[in-house]
Amino acid sequence: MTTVRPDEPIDQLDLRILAAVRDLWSAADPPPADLVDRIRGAVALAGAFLGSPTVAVCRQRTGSDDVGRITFDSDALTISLSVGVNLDGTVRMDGRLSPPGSHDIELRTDDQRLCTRSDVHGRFTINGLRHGPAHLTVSATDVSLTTPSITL
Amino acid sequence: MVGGPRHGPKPPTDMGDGDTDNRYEHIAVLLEAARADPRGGMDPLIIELTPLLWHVARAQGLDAAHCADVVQTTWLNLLRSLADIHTPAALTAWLVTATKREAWRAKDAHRNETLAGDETFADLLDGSAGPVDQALVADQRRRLWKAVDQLSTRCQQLLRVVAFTPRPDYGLVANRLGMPKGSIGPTRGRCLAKLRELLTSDPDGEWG
Repeated sequence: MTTVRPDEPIDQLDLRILAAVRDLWSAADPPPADLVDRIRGAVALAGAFLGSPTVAVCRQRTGSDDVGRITFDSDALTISLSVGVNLDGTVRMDGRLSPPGSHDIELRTDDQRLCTRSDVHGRFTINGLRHGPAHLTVSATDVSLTTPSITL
Repeated sequence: MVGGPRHGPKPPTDMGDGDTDNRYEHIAVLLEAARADPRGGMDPLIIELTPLLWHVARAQGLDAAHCADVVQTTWLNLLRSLADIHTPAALTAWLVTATKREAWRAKDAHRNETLAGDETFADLLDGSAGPVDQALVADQRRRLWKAVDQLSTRCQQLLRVVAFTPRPDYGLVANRLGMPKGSIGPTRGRCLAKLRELLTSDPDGEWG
């Protein structure tokens, strides 16, 4: 057995080994098939708000993903969502913004784009949604917030 | 930048792998396009580098569902920093660091849940099925699995990320995995050397 010194320069065999390691992980634990499309959708949506004063990304709050309730926090705004299924199988989303305020809200899925506006108490409802990944964007006065993907 | 000076740190030696070099140059072109048009020009970069970010996130021991969110959040955050990033090396370093931080944040936030992200190589091997499984049982690949599984967790994590990283960034990636600055080369070298030794010492393998 030839002992390989770690300070030797990387050579072709090392590169072959690294390529094989890459193939191995690509086969054993690849990214989800829809991940790139999900990200492209989210980035396109957030990019559309780049002209706004600030584009911010909310972060899902700890333990907020039980029983259809999801909370996203950011420095400027907290978005609390309650997601339920109607009798006809469509999805209803009730949301509340904190601090409360009337802001434009857009929900985008793979094939739907629904717009509404929260009331002065920060409440809003979007109904008739189909199941699947979605992104919510809230356009407040000086900031646009986009959530990571939500699975409806 | 064709014909111009290469951006970012040079690899320590000429490793003679044209494909990897081309990939690095390719990313430089994609970065320029994204910087010129952040609204619509990010897609090729996302396609090219999402696998790297996925494996960075997974290497932090986070489950698949949370890793998907982590990678997405990282790309969204990049939108705000893109203007300050000028080279592929800086881009990769930024993305790797941001992904790792986000993964740690997610791991911390979901600490009380059962996260299925600490699979060993053997777990992943056993859990695979169908065509992937068939590919994995190929003799050379099985020997590689066995060899990688004998490495320390740190080495597995490092080599997993290094294997997906455009080559001029090896050192930066190692740095982002929390290693002492002075030991980037030797540590990477030790992990690679150990794996190479395991593979080449197998008399029936094809790595000698």
